[in-house]
Amino acid sequence: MKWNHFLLCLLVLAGISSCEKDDICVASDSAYLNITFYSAESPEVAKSVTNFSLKELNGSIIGSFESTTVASIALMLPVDDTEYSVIFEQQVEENERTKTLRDTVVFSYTPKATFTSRACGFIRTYEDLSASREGSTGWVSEVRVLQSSVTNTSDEHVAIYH
Amino acid sequence: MSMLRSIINYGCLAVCLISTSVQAQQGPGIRAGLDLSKLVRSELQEGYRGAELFGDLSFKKGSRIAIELGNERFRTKEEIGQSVLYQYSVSGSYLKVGLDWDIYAQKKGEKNQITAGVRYALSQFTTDIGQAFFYDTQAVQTNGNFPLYTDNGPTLNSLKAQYLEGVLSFKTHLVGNFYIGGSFRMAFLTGEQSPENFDNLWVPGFNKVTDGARFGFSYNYGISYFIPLKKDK
Repeated sequence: MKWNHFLLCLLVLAGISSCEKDDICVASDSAYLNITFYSAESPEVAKSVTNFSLKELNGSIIGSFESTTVASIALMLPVDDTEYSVIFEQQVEENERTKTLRDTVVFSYTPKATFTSRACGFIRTYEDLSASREGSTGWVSEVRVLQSSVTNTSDEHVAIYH
Repeated sequence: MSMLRSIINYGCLAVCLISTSVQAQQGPGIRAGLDLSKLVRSELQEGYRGAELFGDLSFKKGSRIAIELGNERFRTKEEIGQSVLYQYSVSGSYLKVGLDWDIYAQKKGEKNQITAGVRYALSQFTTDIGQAFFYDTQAVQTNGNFPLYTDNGPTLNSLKAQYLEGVLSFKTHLVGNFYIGGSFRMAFLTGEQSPENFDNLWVPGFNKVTDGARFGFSYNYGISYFIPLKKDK
């Protein structure tokens, strides 16, 4: 009889021990490159962009905001590369004709994958960020890197003045 | 599948424990055994392969030196919903050495045995990270796939873990010199050599290592052969 009681206790114990706490990721998140648009005339003032789209060099569209205004964008830089070229394209009305203005910005960076915990796994950050302009026809006046270390989703990392 | 596995495992264990028989009392001797639970799990659980040999030597009435030697490989993945976060595979060996003491007063002529014991264990293993993705809140919110980090992550060699284990085990006479039994184990991680940019999430012989807790739980059952060293009158 003692045997059976003992056995029962152990099975219950084994049942309890096989319960695991829920592993939920709350502490960390992968970073995006946050780009905010500012006015070229008064650099402190945020200035939205209209009829704007974002393309890769080969023409594929990253984001298209044709009938909305955009104050800022979050860009994912590829982790298998250290350089990423993006075309900032804007449609403007000039003398009742639509004109496309393009600015190419090259972002240089070091991608980093950091293991954080069982629940979160790996998160993406970027270090040594720099930006340069290439082949400009015109609507951007300056690209400025505000933070060379891109480690979160909330900060502004790059400012574009136009 | 995991439900079925549990039922079979607990079922086998229950049968082992209930099928007690009354025989002549066991004297000192050497025992050598094979873990059956790991062989069963190897068949039933995808990604798991393991084997363990164990033995003990009675050096004093009611006390034994116990040893376990095993090898395990476990391939698994972490997921959020249906989206895979990362896959990894751990393989390696472990050695456990310690003592067992009888905690059940045997009736005259009884061969059943309940023992409590302690072990000091060493694991040596390799972790191989497979396909891995970046955790991304946006992907969680939209139930989308996580952006890819790598198709084949690094292999992390020369990992080690040390742990202390408390053991509660049962053995009952089967036939001839054969015994069948099982044990419950609670382990406490005392030290580890962690890899760079990853964690020891699963350790051979220890099982799953949870975040923020250093305890591991496991159980097993197996069959053993007992060689008496002298007749006990």
